[in-house]
Amino acid sequence: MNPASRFARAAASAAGDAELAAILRRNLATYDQAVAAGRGRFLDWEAARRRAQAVKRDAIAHLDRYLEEFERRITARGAVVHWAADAAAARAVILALAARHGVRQVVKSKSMVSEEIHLREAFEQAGIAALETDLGEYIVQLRNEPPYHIVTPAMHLRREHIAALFHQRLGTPASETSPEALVRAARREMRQRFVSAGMGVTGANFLIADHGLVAITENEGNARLCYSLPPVQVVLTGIEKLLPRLDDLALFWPLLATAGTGQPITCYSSLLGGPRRENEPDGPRELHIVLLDNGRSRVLADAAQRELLHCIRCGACLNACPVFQTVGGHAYATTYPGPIGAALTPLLRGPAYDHLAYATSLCGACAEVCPVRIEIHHQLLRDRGHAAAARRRGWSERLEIAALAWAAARPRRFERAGRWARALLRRRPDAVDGTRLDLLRPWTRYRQAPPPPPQAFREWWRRRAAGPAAPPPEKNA
Amino acid sequence: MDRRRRSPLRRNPRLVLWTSVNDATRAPEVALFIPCFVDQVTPEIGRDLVSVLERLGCRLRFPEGQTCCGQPAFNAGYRSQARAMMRHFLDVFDGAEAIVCPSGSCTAMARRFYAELAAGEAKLEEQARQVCPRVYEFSEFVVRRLGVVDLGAKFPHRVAVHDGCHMLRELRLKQEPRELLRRVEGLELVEIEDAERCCGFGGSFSIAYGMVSEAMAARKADALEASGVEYVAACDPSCLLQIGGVLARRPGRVRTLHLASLLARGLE
Amino acid sequence: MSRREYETRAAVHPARERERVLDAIRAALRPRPEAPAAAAAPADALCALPAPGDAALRRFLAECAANCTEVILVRSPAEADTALAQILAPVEGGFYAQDAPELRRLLAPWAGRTLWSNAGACDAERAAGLTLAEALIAQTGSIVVSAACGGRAGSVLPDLHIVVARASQLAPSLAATLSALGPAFERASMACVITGPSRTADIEKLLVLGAHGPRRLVLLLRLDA
Ligand code: SF4
Repeated sequence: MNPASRFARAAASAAGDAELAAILRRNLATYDQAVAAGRGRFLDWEAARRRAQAVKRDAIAHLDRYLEEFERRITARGAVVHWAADAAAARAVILALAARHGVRQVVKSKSMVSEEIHLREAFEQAGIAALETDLGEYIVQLRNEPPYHIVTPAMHLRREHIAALFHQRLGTPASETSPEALVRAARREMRQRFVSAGMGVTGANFLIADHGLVAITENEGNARLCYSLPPVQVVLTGIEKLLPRLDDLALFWPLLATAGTGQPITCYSSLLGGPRRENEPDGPRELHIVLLDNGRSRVLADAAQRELLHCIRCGACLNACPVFQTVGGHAYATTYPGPIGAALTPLLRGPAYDHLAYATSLCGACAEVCPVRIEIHHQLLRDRGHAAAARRRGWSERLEIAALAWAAARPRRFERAGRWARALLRRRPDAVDGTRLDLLRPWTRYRQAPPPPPQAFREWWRRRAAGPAAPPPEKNA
Repeated sequence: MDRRRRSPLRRNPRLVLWTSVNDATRAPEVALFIPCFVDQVTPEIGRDLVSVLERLGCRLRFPEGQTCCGQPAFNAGYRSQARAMMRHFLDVFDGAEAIVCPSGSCTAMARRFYAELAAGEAKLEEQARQVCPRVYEFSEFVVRRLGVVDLGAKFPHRVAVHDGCHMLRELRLKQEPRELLRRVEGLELVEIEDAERCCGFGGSFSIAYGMVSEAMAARKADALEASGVEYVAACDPSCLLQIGGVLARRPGRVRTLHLASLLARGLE
Repeated sequence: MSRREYETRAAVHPARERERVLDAIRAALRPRPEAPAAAAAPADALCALPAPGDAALRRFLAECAANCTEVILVRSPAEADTALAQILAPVEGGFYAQDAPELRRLLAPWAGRTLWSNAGACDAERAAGLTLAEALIAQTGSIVVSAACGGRAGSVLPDLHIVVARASQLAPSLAATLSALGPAFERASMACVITGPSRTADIEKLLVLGAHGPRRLVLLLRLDA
């Protein structure tokens, strides 16, 4: 099945899933409350968003310079920077490193970019065991699922689901459903793996140009273990994660935490300057940073769409999106679900994902919450523009638009076409009503349609203007 | 209360003189922008718009050359077709003093998206710059341009407002419909849960992803029914079509009404 | 695929890949978009901040209470000793500590159970880690540690993390702390702004402390005379 029909089917099935809806709704109610309180900590949330937007605009407009500055500074402290034009190159770099160090086990902290390049599968195929250590990621890995959400990977599960999973896979008591016990079980399970892993892989939330630093944000401490214990560390990240100055984090850390979870700042906000130094007791001997393009420079080339690279992956737009809330994260079948994923994926992964730009009501709730003020819904419109201009849309839609454009070009034509259409619908024979042949079926299947009015507004107006002798307007009940 | 904003309608609903509302301004001539959808599917909204604006003393004109503003084509991505329709629109409404539309989303098309659509063609850009700022959504026109909030209407019912997404996020019009409803005699304005949530219409989205669209509308319908209102008012005929379409298949008794229709009824 | 990956590895030529990516970026940014460098360090104006002094300390304590950091205020070395004894008494197992004179003095009674950072890295068996701090942040109730505070794992691997710091280390804001932190990376490879003990809300958004890192974070805060 192609991605478009797969999405349509998954979306429809999720839309009818009341249990899922209840889980998401409860989860999001907690989130909404926390975020409202978090925003209140800012003197001026809107000013903070505008400032963040300006900083990101500067970072993206001078991306080449900032990347080189970052590279120069962090390399001076002994880190190695790798560049990867696409996913295959990034995988190859990382697998080569693993091979060179004879790595058999890898611990990973949360990184959406690693999902993007399917790194875990690549490790597995190379015979290397890769463990997701973020609790949510760990849970979905045990279930053989991709993350449901970019910040909350196990958002679609209730504790009973997780308890059953742990019972089956970790041998915890089946009756044990308290979150504390489940967390403890997972922690116990993973501890040994941290100690024995030959490589730690993390993502990066920001790369800091002026001091050459990698910033990693998390709450659990698993990323800290990933960059503290294994002898080799790989930071895998997209080229767009740059911030010009260390000082910018004074804004971006609270901003990301607030939009992501409502926290004032996340529990652990780490900065990495390089591999372990001579006088330090621990830390990786080697620090490798893989900078991935994988379509980002294509997005960058479009002046109207490059703001999509401002995204700091906070997940707020997913949470605010009524479509995401209805279809859930898995229906998208993309690395990045929700509004930002719908806008980015057609650009990063090509026309097979055009449908995502159309799978939205364009309500704009996403843009309203985005901490860096990306006009996501307008970007979706621009995606649609590309798809239509390249004639990638279906014939029926093209026909409809052509018909509308034809009719709209001349008012007479428009009026006559409207009258015919209304007459046709009014005479809709019972034989057609409700069947596949019914032109209104796609609408009436889910909703009532109003009866077609006997006369258009313009006809009424004309008669009315003609004078009081004209018959009164027929009421359209 | 600001006395100047009280219309004389309450004192003498039959006699409406614009000059007494705002001495400095003469009654504006209004060009009606009736979206293709209203023209063909819900003309009663257009008629109600006419009756309310006339009661307010506006001189109305319906440029008969108008067809469609191009929004369906633009939203589907067909920008060149949309541009042609925009060109037509700009020609039809060229020189109009005030253009009033009973749809937030069609108003947004002209005010928010025409500029981007016209970009690159100097003459068109200039024309859009001239015409677009004069396009008003109905409640915006009445409250902000005419400065009237009290029309002297009477509508003794519990009413909720649904905020259309274009009204809310493209035009930033949230208070205007509420200001009008608050002054309607006997009307109890009820705020529903998640009033700002999308109803799930989204044009072709409602067809292509019918089930998702319906689920979104169902949530809106739930909120409406839970609030115990009799009517839901909105400034977007398409939202009303969507919400009304779902409500009609439910046992509940909530009915949809365009703000202009509600006011027109209240003035009868 | 794996075999092929290893083979295509030869095709990933580091220098060429670098130029490929950078060239693509440069081409994409031609003509260079207008985006003036945004003014630096704006955050003080965006987040409500306490005045320095008492207000800052009050804010710090309130934030710590909210993020579950246990703060013990001590006014003399003797008070610090008593407080530490109380915390450590019920703890079984070994300790890991940053090798610093102040901690050497405080931990003297437990010297036999303590692994010092100059002698090795913290291991998973250690029940408590003791470190100093680089700075404290009033705005967020945070404690800044770096790799110079006894390495990386000592503050995250044990179940209990005890920090010994002085009120004079308190900075009003994140912005002030970050400006001072830049040069620290010339002597330490890592720094971390710690705001409360480790936590997760991945299960039904319910807060659980002690996800992968310490379940308890205790700050012994010396109020300066
Ligand atoms: S687009 Fe904005 S809201 Fe969505 S994830 Fe990115 S930064 Fe967050």
